[in-house]
Amino acid sequence: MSDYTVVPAQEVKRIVSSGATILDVRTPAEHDEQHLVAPHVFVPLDQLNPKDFMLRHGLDKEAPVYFLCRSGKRARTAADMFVSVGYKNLYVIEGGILACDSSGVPVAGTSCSNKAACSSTQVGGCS
Amino acid sequence: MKISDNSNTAGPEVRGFFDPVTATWTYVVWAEGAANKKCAIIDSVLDYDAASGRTSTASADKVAYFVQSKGLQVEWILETHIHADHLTASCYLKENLGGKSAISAHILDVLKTWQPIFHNEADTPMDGSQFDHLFKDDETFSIGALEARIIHTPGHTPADTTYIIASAKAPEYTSAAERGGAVFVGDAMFLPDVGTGRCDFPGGSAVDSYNSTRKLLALPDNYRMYIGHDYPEGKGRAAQCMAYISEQKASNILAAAAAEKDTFVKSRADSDKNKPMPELLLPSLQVNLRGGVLAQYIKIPVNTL
Repeated sequence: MSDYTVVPAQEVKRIVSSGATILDVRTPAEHDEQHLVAPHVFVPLDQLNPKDFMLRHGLDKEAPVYFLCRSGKRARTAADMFVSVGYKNLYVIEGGILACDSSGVPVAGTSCSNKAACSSTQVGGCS
Repeated sequence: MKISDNSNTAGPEVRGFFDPVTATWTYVVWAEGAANKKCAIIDSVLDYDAASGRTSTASADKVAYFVQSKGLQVEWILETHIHADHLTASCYLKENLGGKSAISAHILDVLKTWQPIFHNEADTPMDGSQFDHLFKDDETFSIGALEARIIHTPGHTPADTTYIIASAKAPEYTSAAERGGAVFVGDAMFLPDVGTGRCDFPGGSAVDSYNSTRKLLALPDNYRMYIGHDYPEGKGRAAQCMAYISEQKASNILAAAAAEKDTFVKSRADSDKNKPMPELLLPSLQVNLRGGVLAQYIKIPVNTL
């Protein structure tokens, strides 16, 4: 089953500026170590429930979702899960975070020297 | 294969837009498959840079683009309350998309509360006429094929309200619970691991806040509660916008079903003690009390708050 589109890692900047959701499905340890600086959502593959994910992140049925993992395999598995329950606007980022890093897409994490890139810009809240 | 509609997810369609700077969720709500394509926009954001005093419509434009690309027609532009941490884009969205702006009639009390501080009567109507409609408590209205109701849920501010939105006509379902529903609570409650809205602004009340949470937890378990902000920092997750009423009852860290009033009030007071004001409090209140209309100046009342 492959009712999703594979896109190159260089597309990340365009994806982010379009406001689409990037979903990283790696483990927490992998995510801590290295992740996109750009806004993204993180849910490990073994905890992923497509419909629940869409509802909790405010996404309607047609909202685009771009799947990301280390090299692309788990992203395809995740995309297949979404295809199997009827979602259609799905994309896999080819080569995963490794391809992002090697193609100049900004990444950060515990091994990253640029901590400022990971900090929040929030300006005070109501909780 | 079709996306199945079980009772957990029947009811209004919701698209959320998260503004990471103010941690605010803006929502578009509509009825999927309805003959008309009417929608409501709830709690929009006008981007504001306090240092330069400049606004930007980047956040609001994402919402507008979505509404237009889905072919939706804006019927209502709603506020859950007068926000103290971000400016509303309601005025901008109304100019560009149409629709009626509306808020609870309790805004009249909020206008009275802040007038002696801002002396803003020259550019801020004290009768609420800057909004197209002021809702009475428990007033019902429709958003296309959706049935909506507003309830008073004070505590965070004295005028906080909640919009309860459900499918209007669904003969195959017999009860409200079976029809499913989406509940937009503003800052009355947050996600279970965050808690509830602060109660230390003028007119805020932890006792009122507790009582409001009891009203919300009395809604059907499968209703989806959409919160006005999310603060996921340090919680190992990205921003989310929704928890089921059943989840709030079971595990809200401050206001679960088992929480007692005295404990809640003390926890709220401890948490709110010496809490810094939101950075955008002063511009937010002044602009939001005008229904999002920008004036030439933002006032800074010195040594007043």
